[in-house]
Amino acid sequence: MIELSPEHIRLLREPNLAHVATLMKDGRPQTSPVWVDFDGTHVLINTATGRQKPRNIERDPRVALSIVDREWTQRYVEIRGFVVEVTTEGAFEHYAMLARKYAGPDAKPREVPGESRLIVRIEPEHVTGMNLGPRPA
Amino acid sequence: MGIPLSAGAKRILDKHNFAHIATIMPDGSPQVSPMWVYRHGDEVMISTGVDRQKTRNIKRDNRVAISISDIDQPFPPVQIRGRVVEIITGEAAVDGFVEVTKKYTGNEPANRPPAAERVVYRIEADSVVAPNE
Repeated sequence: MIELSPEHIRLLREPNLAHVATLMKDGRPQTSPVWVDFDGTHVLINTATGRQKPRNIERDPRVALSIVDREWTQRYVEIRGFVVEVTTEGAFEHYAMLARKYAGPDAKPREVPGESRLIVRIEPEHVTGMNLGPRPA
Repeated sequence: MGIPLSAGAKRILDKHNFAHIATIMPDGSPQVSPMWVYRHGDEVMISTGVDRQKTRNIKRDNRVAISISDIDQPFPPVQIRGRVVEIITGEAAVDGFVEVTKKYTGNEPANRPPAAERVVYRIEADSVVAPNE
């Protein structure tokens, strides 16, 4: 398990979108933007049952993410790793927290009938990127 | 033969949005990185340096996925799955670098890089999901 730097963590904690890649059944990549978060150890994304992403992750837990700094777009981080846990526990509350982070304090999470939210916990194995020193003032 | 890009996909591709392109590593795991992108008709064009992991990945397995969120309205995004049908090299690749630099910065690049350093991926779409417009 690798250690993320304070600037990697800052990119994860600020409201930057992450584009996450998973593997389709035939080994092709799939990618989509997601809200992202960091719990001190793992990178967390939130998805929902019935989507392509959780199906792919269940079959093959290897994933990759790329995140551009919205404040300074010449800076980005790329993370490769694997999913260590997918859980419904606390997942709606986590989704609501992400809605506030990305859409503002009054944002209401969207409830879709028949769908359960999922927290996907990712262990980073490899990190690279550009301009990952402190952001200039 | 690829499929056409929809109007919503073209609109978001033509703005100053990052394309996040996923390729397959030698061990079969995914890799994804943000790139500048431009468009020729229904083909998605990506200009990059020649000596990149992504280029090595594409030479081994040309299947790619691209997602793009519009900076003004991130959801729903554009999601494209497709294939790199050509890795353009030489002066044509430098022309691609000039074209994408003008698109994103409004200016010609300060220097024309050596042809040996640049490639352009020419991508045909096999599936396109985009805002309906």
